[in-house]
Amino acid sequence: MDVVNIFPIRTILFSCGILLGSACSADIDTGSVEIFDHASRNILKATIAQGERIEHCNKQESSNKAPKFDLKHLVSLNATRDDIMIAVAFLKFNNDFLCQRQTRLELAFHLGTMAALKRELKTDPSSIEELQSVISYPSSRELKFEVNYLKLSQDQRSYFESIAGDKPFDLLDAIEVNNLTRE
Amino acid sequence: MGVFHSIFTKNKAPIIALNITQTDWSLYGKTMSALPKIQKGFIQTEIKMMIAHYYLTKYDHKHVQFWKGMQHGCR
Repeated sequence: MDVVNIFPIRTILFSCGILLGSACSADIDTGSVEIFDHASRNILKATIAQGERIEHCNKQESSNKAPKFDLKHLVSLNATRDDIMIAVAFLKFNNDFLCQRQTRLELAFHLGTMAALKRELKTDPSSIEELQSVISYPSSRELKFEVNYLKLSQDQRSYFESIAGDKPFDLLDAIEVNNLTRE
Repeated sequence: MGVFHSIFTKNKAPIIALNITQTDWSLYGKTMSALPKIQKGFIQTEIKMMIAHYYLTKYDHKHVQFWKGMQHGCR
């Protein structure tokens, strides 16, 4: 987990690749150009919607109170500090995903449509496919949080979910209010 | 990038002019302003994951402080 691994190529790819979907339209026949233009327009609209949604979710994160778990209840569930941290980490990213889910899926769908069109018209869909996978699927790190979370007992998970809800919250606030800091 | 490519490459001057007038610049402009928000969102998520990572695995105070600083700078 070094610094060099943190900003994967995907962010750069995203900025450059989002409009590449329309790039090959000059190489194909007029009828297909219209279809490409239509698909490109859908991608543009979905990108705008995703940008607005991210802004909305960030505002929610700032305004929502971080979940505070009851110490007595945690003791009764035999939840350790690590269990709580695992729950906070997973629920934080899961709630973020839930907040953006609809617009993210729409953008992924339109990118998938463009990739399928490019395949059909025998043009290279790889840049769009890479972009689609970044938008659609969780990273290995996110999956690791989920795997760890699923190892907690059902009772613990039910309690954590009941308190955290499904709205975005601030990670550092949650760490602080639950005394999970290790200074 | 794709918009510029489709307008200017492999086309003659009249077609370029037609393409410029037919391109939806408003939609294109809005999309370009949405991109930094999405990029920033990706970067913020990566930073938060690093903070969570260092809290979950072997705690490293220096790394946590570094990523907290990054998060603060990325707000």
